[in-house]
Amino acid sequence: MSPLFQKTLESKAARRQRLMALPYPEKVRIVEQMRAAAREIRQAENSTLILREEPPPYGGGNP
Amino acid sequence: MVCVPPPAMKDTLAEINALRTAGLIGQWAIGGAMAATFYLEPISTYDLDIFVLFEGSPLILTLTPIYDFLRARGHAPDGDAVMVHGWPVQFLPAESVLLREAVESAQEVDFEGVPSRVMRAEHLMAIALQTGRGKDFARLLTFMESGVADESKLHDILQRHGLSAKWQRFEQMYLNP
Repeated sequence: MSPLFQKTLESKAARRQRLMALPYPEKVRIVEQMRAAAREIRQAENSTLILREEPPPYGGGNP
Repeated sequence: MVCVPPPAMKDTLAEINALRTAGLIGQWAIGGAMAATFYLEPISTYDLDIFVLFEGSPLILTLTPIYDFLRARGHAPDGDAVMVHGWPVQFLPAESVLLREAVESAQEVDFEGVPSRVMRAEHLMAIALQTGRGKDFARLLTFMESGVADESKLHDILQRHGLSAKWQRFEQMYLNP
């Protein structure tokens, strides 16, 4: 692995740590921003080709 | 042009507390991606999963009283969720033993002054393992990399809920390939 690649990975890991350490309300605000961005993309595309997530089968999985 | 106010999670959670005060739901806890976000980095998700216990266990479980209560307070259904202050909220009965335990032992969290409850990391991991979609395994890996979970608590939960063999398969595939 090149030093540049190694440095990039370390930088990404540090960023993830910073995000993890944020207070919960701050993280929720980031999620809200991501949701708003996704909504804008959907509206801009005006497309029906949006994949909707299948609801999780909570409690229904086999051990 | 319709002006939509920005979502406000604390107002959403206050409405869930109102449901509890009205006696329509028992104990509740945030689960799914928004609960994982409490422990990990922010995770993109569409809705807010609220797992609820129903005290008195009605013979036929229905969410209609919840929907009626929220509709009367101005919150409209949105597909299989209810839009509450900008958040599509999915109410999920905690029917399995694992989900019930996860709700009962959830962590008390003060969300900007609103008392809330978030499932513990170890329960979220066990539920992800049991649910078993690709993204659940991805989230499990993130939990493992983050080191936020207490591994002895996790293994206790896995063992008590018959998930140890599934965990071993997960370990072989993703942690020790």
